[in-house]
Amino acid sequence: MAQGTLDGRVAVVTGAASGIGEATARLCVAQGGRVLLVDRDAVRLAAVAESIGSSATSFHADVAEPHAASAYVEHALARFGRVDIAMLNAGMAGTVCRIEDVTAQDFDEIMRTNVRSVWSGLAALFPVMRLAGGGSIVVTASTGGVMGAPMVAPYIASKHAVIGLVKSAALEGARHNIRVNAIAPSPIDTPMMAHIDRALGHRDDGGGRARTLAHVPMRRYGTADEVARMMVFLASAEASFCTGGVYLVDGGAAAGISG
Amino acid sequence: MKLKGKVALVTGGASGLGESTARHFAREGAYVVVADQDIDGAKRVSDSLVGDGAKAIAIQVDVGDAKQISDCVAQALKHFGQIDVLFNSAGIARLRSFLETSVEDFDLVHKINVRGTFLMGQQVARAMVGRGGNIINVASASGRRGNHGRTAYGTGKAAIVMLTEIMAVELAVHGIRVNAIAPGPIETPIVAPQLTEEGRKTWTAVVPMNRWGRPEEIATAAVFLASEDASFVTGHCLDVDGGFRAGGILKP
Repeated sequence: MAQGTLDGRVAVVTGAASGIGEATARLCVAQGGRVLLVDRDAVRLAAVAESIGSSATSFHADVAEPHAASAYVEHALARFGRVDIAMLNAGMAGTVCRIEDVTAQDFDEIMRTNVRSVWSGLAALFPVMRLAGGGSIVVTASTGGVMGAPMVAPYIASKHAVIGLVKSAALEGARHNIRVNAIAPSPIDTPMMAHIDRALGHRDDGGGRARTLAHVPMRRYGTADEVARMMVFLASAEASFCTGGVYLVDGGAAAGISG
Repeated sequence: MKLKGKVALVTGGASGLGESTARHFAREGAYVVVADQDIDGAKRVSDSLVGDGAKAIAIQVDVGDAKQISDCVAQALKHFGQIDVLFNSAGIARLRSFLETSVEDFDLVHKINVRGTFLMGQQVARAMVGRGGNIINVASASGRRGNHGRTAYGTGKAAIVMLTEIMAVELAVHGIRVNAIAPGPIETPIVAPQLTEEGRKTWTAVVPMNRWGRPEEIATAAVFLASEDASFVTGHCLDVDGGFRAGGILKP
């Protein structure tokens, strides 16, 4: 590659051991960046980091834990001396059931993992990025952050909440050259989507997926790499006037009913 | 290069966002049709692209005229044989308060901005059916939030956002992706000389990034949407607005 859009940049990617996070970490490196991969699955995390090579290093943490964010930011600073980009991507689908069957414990776990983790990530990153003169943060929301869906209410609520965090953070960060954006992917061919499809009784044989695909004008699942390219675009200088936005990667799903 | 060998039609290509996008498309390997009402300006841009080693032609078009739109598309197809990307940016602006907006203002802005975008998109999409393609409409921050003085302009730009969603939904089956870009305040050569200090501040006061954007910041977004980097993105209106749409109260 002649020139990468992230040449010389340091990125932190959470939820980097699989799916969108893994694809994003790989693309960051392909675009010239160095990456700290964060995930709670230590085994997969190590394997992914190793397969990416010397531009990647890993840090085992569960972002639902209150001190995880300050720990991974410190680790990135110690290892690379700077943090220019953060992809706050870690998240979970949680239980797939009716609202009245959700337990308080399940609800709180999703909020800790999907929402509080983003807040704590922003809180740990902002002082560092302000001091450095700027940065770019991309948060993985979902079309479930702009539309509802049955059987996954806590997840939907958490993704709506994350978009609120992103907008407020964009306003606080703008004067310090810190851009903060959200992406809204769906449906993407990842382990998490497979989990949701399985829980809804959809099967991977095409028949079950048809129910999901009926809502997608492009009539296919997206790939993790297609989401990664949006994340890297937003993180790069190519999106230098974009902040506080919610960027769709959804095959047209949020645009309307495709008949 | 992200658009190598693609044919891109850029309307409003003689200046501003269109010119910058035409230049970025050419740099990414596209053959560019620079279409504009201002044919001298369009030629200046296409000549300079050719001078840089790209392939480009200029075509005169008034997007307020349906016949000229179909002629423009026919001419582009005749020259390059195909159109892979449409950057549908030709448009005009009128600032007038709601109480003072005339029928003529309203109709003119809607004819150029909405009907022009629709007809150009339709003509080009018909040529894309069967082989796929990519359309980028140009909306505006003024089509995303209610801005003073934008009765005609803002309603037209909001219509373009919805047009984009409908086109995306209907054209997906043909392998045509359709997206929009909603620029915030951008310092284009037409806008810059007219800007008063007060006019500049009116925007920066409500843009979290506290500055005007540059034409190339729209062009890089257009390259992203036009390229395979955005292969699962359709029906989206991509805001390039320094945070304007996220904004509310900006100071503690």
